[in-house]
This record gives sequence, C-alpha cells and structure tokens, in this order.
Amino acid sequence: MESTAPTSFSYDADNEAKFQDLLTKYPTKQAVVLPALWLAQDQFGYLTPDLMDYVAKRLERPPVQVYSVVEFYTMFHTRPVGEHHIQVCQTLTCTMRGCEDLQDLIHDEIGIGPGEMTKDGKFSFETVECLGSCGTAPMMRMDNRYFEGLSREKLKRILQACKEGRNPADEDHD
Amino acid sequence: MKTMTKIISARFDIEGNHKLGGYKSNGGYQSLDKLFSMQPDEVIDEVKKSGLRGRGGAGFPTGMKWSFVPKNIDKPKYLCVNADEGEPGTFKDRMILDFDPHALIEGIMICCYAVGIETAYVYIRGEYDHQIARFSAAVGAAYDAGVIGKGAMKGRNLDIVVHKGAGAYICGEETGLIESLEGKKGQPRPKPPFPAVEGVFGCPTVVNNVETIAALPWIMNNGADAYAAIGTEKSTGTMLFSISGMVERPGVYEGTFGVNLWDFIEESTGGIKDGKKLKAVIPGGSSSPILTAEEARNTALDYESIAAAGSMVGSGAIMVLDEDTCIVKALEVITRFYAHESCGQCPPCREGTHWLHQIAKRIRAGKGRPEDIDLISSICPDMMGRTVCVLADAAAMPTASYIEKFRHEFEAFIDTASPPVRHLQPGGVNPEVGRL
Amino acid sequence: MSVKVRIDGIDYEAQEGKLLIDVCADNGIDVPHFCYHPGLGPDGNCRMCQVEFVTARGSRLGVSCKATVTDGMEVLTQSEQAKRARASVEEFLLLNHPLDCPICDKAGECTLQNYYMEHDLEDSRMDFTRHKKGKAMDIGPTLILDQERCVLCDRCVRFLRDVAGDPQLHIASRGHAAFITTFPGQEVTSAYSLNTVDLCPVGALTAKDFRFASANWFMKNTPTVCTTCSRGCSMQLQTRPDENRVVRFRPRHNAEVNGYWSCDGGRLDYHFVNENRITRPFVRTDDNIFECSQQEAIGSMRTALGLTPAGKVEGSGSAKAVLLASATCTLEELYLLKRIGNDLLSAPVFVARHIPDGVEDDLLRRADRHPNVRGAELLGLQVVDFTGDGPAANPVRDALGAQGVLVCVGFNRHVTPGVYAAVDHAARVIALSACETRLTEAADVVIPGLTWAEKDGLVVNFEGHVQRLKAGMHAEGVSEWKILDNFIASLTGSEAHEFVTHIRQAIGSSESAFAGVDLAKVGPHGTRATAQPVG
Repeated sequence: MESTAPTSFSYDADNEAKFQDLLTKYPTKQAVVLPALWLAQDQFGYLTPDLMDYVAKRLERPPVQVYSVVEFYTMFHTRPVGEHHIQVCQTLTCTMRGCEDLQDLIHDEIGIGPGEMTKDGKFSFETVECLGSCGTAPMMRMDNRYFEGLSREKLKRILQACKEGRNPADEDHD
Repeated sequence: MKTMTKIISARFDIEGNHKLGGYKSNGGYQSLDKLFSMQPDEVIDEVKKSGLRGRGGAGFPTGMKWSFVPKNIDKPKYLCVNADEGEPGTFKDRMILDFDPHALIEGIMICCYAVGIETAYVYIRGEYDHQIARFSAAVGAAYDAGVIGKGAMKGRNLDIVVHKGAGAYICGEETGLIESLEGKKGQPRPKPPFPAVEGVFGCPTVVNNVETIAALPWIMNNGADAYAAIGTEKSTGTMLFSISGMVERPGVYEGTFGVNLWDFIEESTGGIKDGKKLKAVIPGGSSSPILTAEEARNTALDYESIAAAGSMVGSGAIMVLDEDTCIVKALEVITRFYAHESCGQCPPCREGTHWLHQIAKRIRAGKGRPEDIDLISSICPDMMGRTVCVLADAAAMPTASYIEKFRHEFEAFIDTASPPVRHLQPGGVNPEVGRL
Repeated sequence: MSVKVRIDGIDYEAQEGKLLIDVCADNGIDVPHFCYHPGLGPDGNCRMCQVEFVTARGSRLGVSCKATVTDGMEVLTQSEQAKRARASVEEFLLLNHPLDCPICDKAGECTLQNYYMEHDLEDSRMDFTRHKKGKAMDIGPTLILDQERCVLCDRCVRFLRDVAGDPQLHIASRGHAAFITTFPGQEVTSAYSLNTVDLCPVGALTAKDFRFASANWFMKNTPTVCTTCSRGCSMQLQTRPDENRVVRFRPRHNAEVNGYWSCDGGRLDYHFVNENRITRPFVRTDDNIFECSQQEAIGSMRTALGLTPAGKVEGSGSAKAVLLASATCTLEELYLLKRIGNDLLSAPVFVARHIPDGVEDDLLRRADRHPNVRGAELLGLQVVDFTGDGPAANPVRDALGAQGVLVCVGFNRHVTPGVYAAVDHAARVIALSACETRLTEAADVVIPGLTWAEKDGLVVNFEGHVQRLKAGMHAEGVSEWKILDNFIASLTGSEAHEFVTHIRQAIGSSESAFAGVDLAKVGPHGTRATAQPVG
C-alpha cells in the first residue's frame, strides 16, 4: 500500500552504494529489509516512520510489514538514543556477578535509570538480555563495542571519559 | 588432566591467525586439496563417520542433516551458519569469529562442496560488532585471494554473505533464523517441512552452528576415524565449553567428551572462587535443567550422560552457582529472559513465560503465596511439547528443575514473615573478575 | 485417492492430502481453533486444535490444522491429553484478556467465551496485573481496535494481505506484549476491511457501524442476498424484531458466489432501509399531496393509465403507457411487469441499470450496481444502460412520446439523470417506491413498496446464479409483487395469487430460461439458472 506521507530521508552516497550491493546478495527484496534498516538507523540514529516508509518503498514492501519487523527486534530504536547508549546485560551470570550494582552506579553517576536519557542527550541507558560475554561478566555494550569485566571503578572511569569528551575505549583496561 | 587434543581452539592464542596469511602459515586451508579430490557424497560420509553433532544446542548428527538435502532438485541450496549465539551462558562462537575466522570459512567450503551449495549466509547476532568486523574482514581477504568467489570451488562459485542480526534470541532457532534472513520477524516455522528440504527462500537449506562448521577442517585433515576416536562412542570429538559464574577463571575451554563434569570445570577454571562451596551447575545454557552439586560431581560430560542425569549438553554453556547464589533470584532472571524473548506466536509460550516470570518475581520479592510453588510446577507441563518451537520448553524445563531440586529455597521466601534479604552475590560487584 | 483415517476409534474415509481438521469437521467432529479458517488456511500458531496422534512409537500432541491425512492415520480428539491441551491454551489466552464481556460487541458470538464454556470451565488462577494495551483505537473509517482483547491469531493480517490484497495490519513486537497495528499514521482503508470483524474470533476488531448497537442474542438472523451490485453475495440480515430495524448485515458462506466474504460497500448499504420511507400511498394534484388508501391509489393509477378506476377491462387503456423497472426489482416483480406490459396494456417494458466507473475489482465488487440485470435479460426484457448522464438516445423518453404515462417500479435509489429525464418528459408518473427520491417528489401517484430487507423475491446474479431474498423485517406496506398481481387480477377478473411461490411456479412454467429450475425450491445458497454459468 502506498504511503501518503512525504519522506525527506534518503541514503547518503555511501549507504546508497552499500544498498545497491545488498540487492545483489539476496534473491528477494524482502531479505534486504534488515540490512537496509541497519543502514538507515546507522545514518540517522534511530528509525522514524519516514525512514521505515523509505525502506519499505525502496524494497517494495508494505510499510506496516517493515514497521512490525522494526518493533520485533530490540536493536532497532524508534526513539532517539543518547550520544552514548549504554546497554547493561542483566541475564544470569551477569546478575550473579553484580550487574545490578552497576545499574545503581550508573544511576548515581549520571542520574538515569533503565529506559531513560539524560537531559543533555549525552547518555541513554537500557538493560538488555544476554550479550554473549558471560565469561567477563558483568559487562555492557556502548558505542558499538563491548566493555567487559566491569568493576565499579572501571565503569566510573569509562563514564567519566564520556563526560569529558574523551574516548571511553581508552579506559577499557583494569 | 590428561593432555587433550585441541581441535577448535588450537590457534586461538596465535597472534595474527585471524589474517589469511597467518592462518595459512598455521596450517590453514590445507584440507582443500583433499576435499576437491573427493566426491561430495564421500565428504558427507566422512562427516557422518566422524560422529560430529551440532554444537549449537540440539546436538543433531551433522552428516545426517546434510544427507537430508535432496540431491536432484532444480533449486539453489543454501547454507546458513548460525552465529546468533544467544543462549545465556554461551560465548564460544565469538572466539572462532574473532580468533580463527578462516577456519570457519574453510569449514563453510567443506560443507558447501559436500552438499552442492553456492551461497552461504553467516547470520551473526547484531551485538557482536567486533566479531562481525573481524569475520567480514576475513571474508574480504578470502575473496581477494580467490579462495572463495566465482569458480573458487572446483569450478563452482562460493559466496559468503555476512548478515547482521538485530537482537532476538529466537533467531538462534533454525527456522527463526531463516525467517529473519528472509526479512521478516524471526518467528519459527512448524516442522515438517524441515529446512533441509524447504528452508530459506523456499530452497533446501543446511543450518549449522559456527563451531560445528569450524570442526570440519580438522576432520578433513585428520580423518573421520581420528575424530571419532576422541570422546565417547556417541559423543565424539571435543566441544568448546563456555564456563562462567562463580569460578576463579571463567572462560572458554575446549573439553573432550567423556570427562567428569565437575573435574573438567575445576581443572579448567580453578574451581569455585573465594573458597566457597559448590551449590549447583547449569550444564548447557539457561535452557538446560539444573544439576545439584552432587549430580555435577557424578556425571560425565557427554550428550548421553548429561541426558541421563535429566539435563542436556545444549550449547555447552556451563554456569556454576555457589552456596551464596540465590536460586529464586536465578529463576526470576531466566523467566524474565524467556518472557522477553518469546516471539509471541503461541499462547502457551508468550503467556506462559510471562506468567512464570510474574510468579517468580513475586516470590523473590517476598510476596509469594504458599500455593505459588505448586502453581509454577503445574504451569510447566502445559508449556512443554505444545508449541511451534521449543522456547516454551526451554523456559519450562529448567523452571521445573529449580523447583524440584531447590524447593526449600522457594519455601524460605514464602514461609517467613519478613523474607530473607539475600542478594545474588553479597557485597556487590566482585573487584576481581576473570578475563578470557 | 481415498484413505482411511481413525478418529476417536471410528474409521472414516477421506481424500488423501486433506487437512485433518477439515476431515474432522466433515464428519461432525468439531475441533476448536482460532487461527485456522477455511477461507484463509491454517497458521498453526494458536495451538487450540491440538489432537493426540497415535503412532507405533507412542502418541504425541500435534495441531490438526497443519496435518494432512494419510492412510492409517490415527488420532484421538477427546483423550485426556488433548482435552488438557485445549483447556490450557484457553487458560493462557484468558490470562491477559480484559474482562470486557459486558461491553464487548462480540459477547454471545465470541470464540473465546464459547471455548471456555465447552473446553475449560476451570476457575481462574490468574493472579497478577494484566498487561495493558490500546483500547477503543480508531484505526480507520470502518474499524475500532481493542488491542487487549486480541488473541494474536493473525487472521486479520492474513486476510487483508492474502485475500483483499491490502496489507494494512500486522502484528508488531513480540511475546505477550505483541499487538495488532497499522503503520504509524496510516489507517485500514481496504474496501473489504469489515471481513476482519467477522474473522476476529474475539472483540478486538469491531465495526464502527455496529459498535454497541445490539447484543447478539437480541438479534434475529435472516439468510438473504446483497442487492448493491450484480455479484449478489449471500448475506445474513440481522434485525431487532422489537424495534423492526436492521442492525447488521454481513456475509454468509456461499462457495458458488462470494466464498466467505463481502465488500464493505454492500455490507453497509442497509441504512436506507431504515430511513426516508414512504409509508402511505398518496396522490399529487398541483403540488398538493393527498394521502389516500391503497384502493384509492390503485384507482388513481388506473385512471392515469386510461382505464376505468375499477373492474375488469377489455383491451389496453387509452393512455400511452411505458413501464420502467429498476434492475433492483425481483424476478417476480419483473415477470409481473412483463405480463402487464405485454399482455394487458401493450406497453413497452424497460429495465434500468447503471454501471459507474472505478468500483469493480478482482475480488467481489462488480461495477453493475444492480442485483438482477441477468434476471431481466433471462426474462427477455430490454435492459437500458443509464450510466452517468446517458443514454444519449433515451428509449424510455422516446417511447413516452407527447402524452406518455410512466410507471416506475423499484427505484428506491439510482434515479439517474437519464431516468429523471424520462420522468420529466412523462405526462403522468406513477411510482411504486419504498423510499423518497426525486422520482417520488415528481410522481403523481405514489404507492409504497418494500425494500429488499422486507420482501421475499428471487434475483439472478451476473453469472446466472438464482438466489432468494428473504424478508427479515416486518413490513408496513404491501410487497410490489402483490400490488402488481392484484392489479393484474383486477384487470382480468382472475384470482390473485396468495403466495409469491405461485408466481415462481408461473415463471418456471412459462419462461424458457428457467425451465429445469424449480424456482419454488431455491435454497439458501441458490441455484444456477442454466446449465453453464453465463458470462
């Protein structure tokens, strides 16, 4: 079904090239939906209805089907996330090894709880399920990388680096 | 412990092995000459003879799965490598993607040659940013060197496409993975038809775990008999075990099937940390029923023995619980996980997992009613064998085992007027954390 | 190929490859289900249709909607295991289901309610705060969505996507929090949207047109036919006898006409039945209206036609009479008009139809806005196309000449410019109409007729399928067939017919197109008028 809302989003040159390449890698347009959504989210930051409609149109899919896919997968965001989006794992081993303590620390250090974003947009925070890093629990994912083996002290340093505009990866050591 | 043959993890610690040149100099891609000299059917037979079983969780014989793919069919065939690694407690496939990505590529070549496949999709969970980058780089290098690509496989093509997931445990289920790859919600399909006959894009599809595929080069190089000689009769070879929880040195340890479960854990990881006592072991990911300390000490680590003990090897994710670990909290956590990850198709799963979690949460908060324990136990059978896929079973089976074996812990939360204030781990975060 | 299937210990013959759930239904074994629908096929997600499959290696539960029967298959539908599976699915569905029954449209015809009574009857063990979702959401011109009531059977999604070709609904998110939704900011605009309300096994999707209109158990159901286009979908008319009005109009299954569906346009086309009705006959003299009795109106009509006001008549009247029927008229009405025109008044008989653009589709809707054009053709009547402003050459106008008397029957709507041109041209106009239109505002004599909801009559669809309209409402006035039949009787001195069945018998014996069809015995699914379907 055609969407009537005008879309102002389109892929930048880089993503357009990637999109064209994707079309050659799958035998159906529908199979390109997830990779295409990733390109859109990586470019804009999160997926608005405009972006979903754009992807739907490019791939000749019903918009509501693309929307249902976005809502199904936890890594697709339909609302803005912070400059640093913190995802603390809360499944079994991480809970055994103190992830709830880390959540408290985050609240103490930057003042937000799960599902919230700081007013300045610097941090957003959510708890997530098993990230496949149980050997280095407790841990989190932020800025598209894992920060593993988090002690209170280490997490504090990482957050501090973010606050000061430094690269938090520099603090990823014991 | 006697010296064990390292099959999967042999090259993990070798610097530069993730690069094509490094891999080759470490013995990589040496199976290809032998591979291309064999008939595809002979390769399938070899894999059957090796006794290799799926290392993702189901433990299905790999050669047998390949042989279900129809031979004379006018449709393309596909391989989907399952790198979704979502089973709580599991973190071993990432090691292969990270430190031995070319072994996976070589294994993909072996599988595709044997089954007649020209396109392999490697479905990697979206959170594994680093592993996706590492593996993609390896694939790029393999293309550049002509190892894969057009005509690379004795005249036939081989394309490897890295496909990024977007955060859904259920996409680790083979038909959930297929649905997701096709661009839909990862909602599992009823079986039959099985993917080998009708899988992705309506075509015959082999779905195999990363580790299963990565074992193939060694089998080709050393022969099926050599592989079958390791381990036990029905659980041949080795497996990467992800050991985590309250141990000194959590990590990924390759183990030979047949060793004693607790001995293996203790010798690999240094045993329980801080001198605490063992309470329980979850042997195969959160979907596996829990074993008491005594059971863990008296069970061998292989598919049959663990099954006989009422649990399963699953994804080889061993989680170790010590005397201070609260079982009730553990149940609250895993039921929350399954409720969150249920795809939502089947009422027994989507409503049942949610219900179990509500009750477990209530008990843990000290608000449980006396009948709640029996209520949990009665819900579990209604969730087993009633659904399209086994996520409901994966929630219900361990739940039933927690109640059965640790009922007293649940009762303690219910009987006392003010419930015991117990953290899962006293004192907050432990400053000393084991590294991989 | 025929195979043997054993169900609950009894052997049945079945066609190989047929769905087990259908084979059970064929043999009177009702296996409960939500997601399966014969018009959509199975989905396999609701798990309600689980039965116990008995094999050599033991027995296990499985869904019967996805199993195709094979020779020697054995199942148990009433075993303890099967019953428990059903009861537990029902329990799981009720966990988060809101207690909306007292205000829910679906109460009384709700699958969840019915299955609770038939398969569960256990006390609730639900003991936590129910999960909240959207309530009474406006999702389009025809539908209201109560997300909490939804059992996620996916029927509406599949219907809109696979049958209507309008994929406008989908299930988003996952787990127990999953919900039915449109694309943000978009609506369900499908011309077949209301079929989802029929399909919805609970009250998640309700019709704006029907919301809170009536409890199901107060309604009277009458099997009849839609008269909005030439498809003639089999429908169920639902009325409130206590108020004598239509409250709902929805499709009945008819494999030969409409399957399980109907379009929204036809479904909602009942409102005029309750509105702008002419209840008393009247005559118009110099713009003054005088209500009169039926007898007086007939008398005025006869006078206008140049006949004596009462009594037997020899020969045709002195006026130049032209008879114009709407193609909405029933077969009986058209037949009687034909007799009046051909045998009694020597008046030409025309049947008006119109075929506007842009309505026809590949599913059910036909551009021809009348239910009985084919019936008129089979009776050998001249059908005139009054689409738009046409026809350019208006045969009705031409037949009227300078002093023509026009008798119009069955124009409750569709008084198109061409029809009105004829009305305008006539010296005298007599109208048998149920509703006020500009025709009745111009007519000299108006005798109230009945709408399709109040009369028994036959209509023939574009494929030659003969179906029965059946009266679902009490009629104030007299049916047109009786008015015309009495008119004939009064002119000829013969006996009037008592029942419409007699007219059907007369048609059957005198009209060759209907030879071989027992029009008096047309059942609820109709019958073909000729051996081959007519294109």
